[in-house]
Amino acid sequence: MDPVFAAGVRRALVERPSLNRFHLLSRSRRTWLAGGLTVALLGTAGGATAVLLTQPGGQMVTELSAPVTVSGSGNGILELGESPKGANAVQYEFTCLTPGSFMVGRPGPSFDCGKEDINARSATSGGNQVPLDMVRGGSLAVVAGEGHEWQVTAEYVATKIAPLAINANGETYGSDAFGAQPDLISAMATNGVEGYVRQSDLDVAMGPMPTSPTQAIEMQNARQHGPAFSPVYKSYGVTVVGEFETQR
Amino acid sequence: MSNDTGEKESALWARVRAGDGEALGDVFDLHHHRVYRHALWVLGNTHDAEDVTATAFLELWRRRRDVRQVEGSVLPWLLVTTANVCSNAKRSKRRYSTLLAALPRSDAAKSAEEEAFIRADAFERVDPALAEQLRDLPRGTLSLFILTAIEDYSVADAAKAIGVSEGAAKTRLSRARAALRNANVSHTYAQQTEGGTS
Repeated sequence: MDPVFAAGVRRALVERPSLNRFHLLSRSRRTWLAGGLTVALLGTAGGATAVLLTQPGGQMVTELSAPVTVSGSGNGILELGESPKGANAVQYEFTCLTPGSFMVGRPGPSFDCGKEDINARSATSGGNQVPLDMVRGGSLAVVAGEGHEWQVTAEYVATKIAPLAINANGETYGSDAFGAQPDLISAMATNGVEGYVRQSDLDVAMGPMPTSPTQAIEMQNARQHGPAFSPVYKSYGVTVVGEFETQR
Repeated sequence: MSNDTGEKESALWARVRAGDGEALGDVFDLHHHRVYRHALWVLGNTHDAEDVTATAFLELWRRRRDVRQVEGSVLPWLLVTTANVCSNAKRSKRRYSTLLAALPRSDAAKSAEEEAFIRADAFERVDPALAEQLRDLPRGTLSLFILTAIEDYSVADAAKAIGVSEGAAKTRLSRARAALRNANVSHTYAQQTEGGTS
């Protein structure tokens, strides 16, 4: 069996339980969901209009500069130049070229790569963003250990959150990944079908929020542990297409 | 499988059921060579066999609450599932098609070692006509055939793995042997089938 493929399968399996605990779609998938999308128009600083596909509550991203790619070993600097008008973030793809720990921005998101990631060619993380205040004088810092090699491709972007959609019953639906609070949150059911889980069902499954640390400990001790299941619906919130698993 | 090994795997499986991803990875390490060999045996194509192997393990996780262990091992369940996935590879893989497409593959030519493995452990053992006939067997019967004739499980254990009585398993295997004889597959494999089910 192809060792690279086998390593990828193993990695997917190891991550499986955590995926099941957090079925909400990953940030990038929520942004670029292929089904049931709305088409959004976003005017750019230069007057051009970008047509972007995102789902309600998802993030619309417009690239405002040419991507810059830099490779390095140890600490390094990514020179992006002056930020264009309208930019509010830098979007980047990070690749570990050797095992190690890396940080983009100071302080910024960190990436840990092991040998298995390099072997499985899964050491690339795309669609990451840092706010503009991490860019100092047009430069973005990369922090890495001595001899730890990396590659970053980055560009200035303008981001905007798409408005939530409203179904026939007056409920809002869409992604909650970017701060929106829809009644029906986009989620993937345990059977792999994409749909929406009702916030009120999640609240019931997880129980009420504690109002004090003491109450939190009491609730934790009294809580039934194990998985709890909530229905996953189509966008109009009636037809059930699967179930969503949360760990209590 | 020795009792000791069975107990160790049983403990590993308990961790998987409790949601331990590393334990699931260890189960993959333990059995993926056997599962792949089986998929390759039936399908005769390395790429498809890899996809089927991945699918069998993903199904192992998805259906973890229903998995039957035999002597503490999930291998019989995996082999049965592999046979089922091979029987209808296209439909079974659909659930995981996005994931399978995203998994990296080596673009290097197959190593001499792998070529040798394919020749020695798969193609040289399998008459293509038999593989073709096997694919046409009913699902449960194909699983019984694989477990008994290829993997050397007893009929009783194979029956346990697929959830039928030993008597029913014997009847199905007897019909399979007749079907394979009628299909005029190579004498060697008809003998192999006879030998494995006695």
